[in-house]
Amino acid sequence: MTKGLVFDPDIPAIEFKGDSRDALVVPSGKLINNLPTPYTLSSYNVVFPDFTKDVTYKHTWSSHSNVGPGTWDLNEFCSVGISIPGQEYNNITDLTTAPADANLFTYRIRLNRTVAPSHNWINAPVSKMVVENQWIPCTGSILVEAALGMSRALSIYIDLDTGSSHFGKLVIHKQQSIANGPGGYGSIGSGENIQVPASGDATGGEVVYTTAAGVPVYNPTGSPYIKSRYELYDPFVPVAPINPQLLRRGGAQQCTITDVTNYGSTWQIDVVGRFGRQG
Amino acid sequence: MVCLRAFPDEGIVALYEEPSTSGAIDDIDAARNAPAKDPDSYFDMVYFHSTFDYMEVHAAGSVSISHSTIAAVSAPPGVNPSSVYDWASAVDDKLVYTHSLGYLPFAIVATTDMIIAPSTKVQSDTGGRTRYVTPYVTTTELRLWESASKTASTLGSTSITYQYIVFKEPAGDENDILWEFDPDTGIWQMGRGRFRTNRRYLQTAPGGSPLVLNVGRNVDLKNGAPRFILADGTIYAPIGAGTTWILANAASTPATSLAYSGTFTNDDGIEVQAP
Repeated sequence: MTKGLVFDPDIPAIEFKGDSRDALVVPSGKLINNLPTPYTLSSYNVVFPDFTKDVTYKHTWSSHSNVGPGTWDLNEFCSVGISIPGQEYNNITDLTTAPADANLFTYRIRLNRTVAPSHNWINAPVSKMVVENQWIPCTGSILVEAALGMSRALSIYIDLDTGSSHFGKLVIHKQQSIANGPGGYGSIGSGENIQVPASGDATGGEVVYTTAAGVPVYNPTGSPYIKSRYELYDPFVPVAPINPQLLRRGGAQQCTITDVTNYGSTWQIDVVGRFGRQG
Repeated sequence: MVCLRAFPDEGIVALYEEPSTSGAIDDIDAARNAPAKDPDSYFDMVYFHSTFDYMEVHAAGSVSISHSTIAAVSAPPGVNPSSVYDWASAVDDKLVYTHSLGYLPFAIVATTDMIIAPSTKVQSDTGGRTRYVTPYVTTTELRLWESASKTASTLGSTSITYQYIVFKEPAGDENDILWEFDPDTGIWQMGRGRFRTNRRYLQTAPGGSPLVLNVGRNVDLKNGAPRFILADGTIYAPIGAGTTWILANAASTPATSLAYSGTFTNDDGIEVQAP
């Protein structure tokens, strides 16, 4: 066995060979070249923007004949909330140009969510999926937030795609995603055609959106977000419609909402890393 | 031309390709020796440099960690998902190894030879209930922070064996030896002791029994849900293909999908091992 240093200028490489138990650099392995100068990023704000919003509006009614002798009543209800339709967001920002031939960036990262979403997501805060204020050794991506139908991630890596406009750059890649809205929108029962049953009861209504179905994230209670009304007709005089749907969307007494939510978040990060190349 | 040169005044030994033939071969300020003097700017021409960080192993081993049961959750108001009702942070926090280095080291934690990226799945059960862990370091310890995705069913307790490697910061000048080979021990040292062959440096090891280190992005999001690409290329999507949701008190059907709907894959990884 060759013992000592082998240098083949055609490869090129240095190979350490020896039969001593003390020599640990084995012939089969290759070292990873990491530059001695660290790349650092201090108090860098990763900003995830707020989402495009919509409004989900629910209106229901029920009518009952013969509530009393010859009478008829109408119950009407509405609720309105902020919903978020399905949407995807990708943003890639160049941090620096990687050294030529570097194909690996090993780093430690420390994250802190300095701006949290302003309101609960449905009924709970948006969960942080990564430890805060600790140094995380990392080479890939980080899922930072997740909730039902929503997720956010960031990745720091060297773009090695020669077809990419970010080729050869160390980039920070932000992603956020919202699921397509849940099913269930549409007409309820008899829809908005309020029935006047000669006997028995009737129900109807609708659940509608403005532009697209969305995740019903913010559903405040109390007027003007939730309303109900009751009318008793005595004596029973059927007309069509019996009564304008006052609480239906667009009705004279409709539920109303102003969007006060901001589901954007900001993560402040510190990074210490080294560019490298596998041998 | 590829050359191996040593520069006593700077204490540097380097193997590199000359960018030109200008200047004296023993003058580190000569253009031909620029890769030795400034490896950051000539990284693609440098094959070995005694000042590089070759990721010396401080400690490598394995440890079995017991993870507690993760409780079930109820469906939220307003919507009825068919599965996966909630995500949860800070489920638990576990010690992996006490390194006592006094500074923040780089470290690797792996299960079944797969290096764990932040929020990597280490346990899952039907419906998408999943335990994720994120390794982190302090100046004295290597730890795991747990998060979870929960369903209406409890995720059971488990014990998982983790492999770990903790790395040292690169050594500084230790002596005035530029280059030495000791035939009795078989040890080479270069660059004033910065590089020594009896140190345990991380190595790439294709075809061996390596750990796989991710390269590039390994999480993708689509339709509100994540897909994780594990270090060996395995795909894991906690919200499965059949998962749907519908408004509570829905006016109509059908439910719509809550599952990841993209096609992202990434099998770029470097196989490494601690000697």
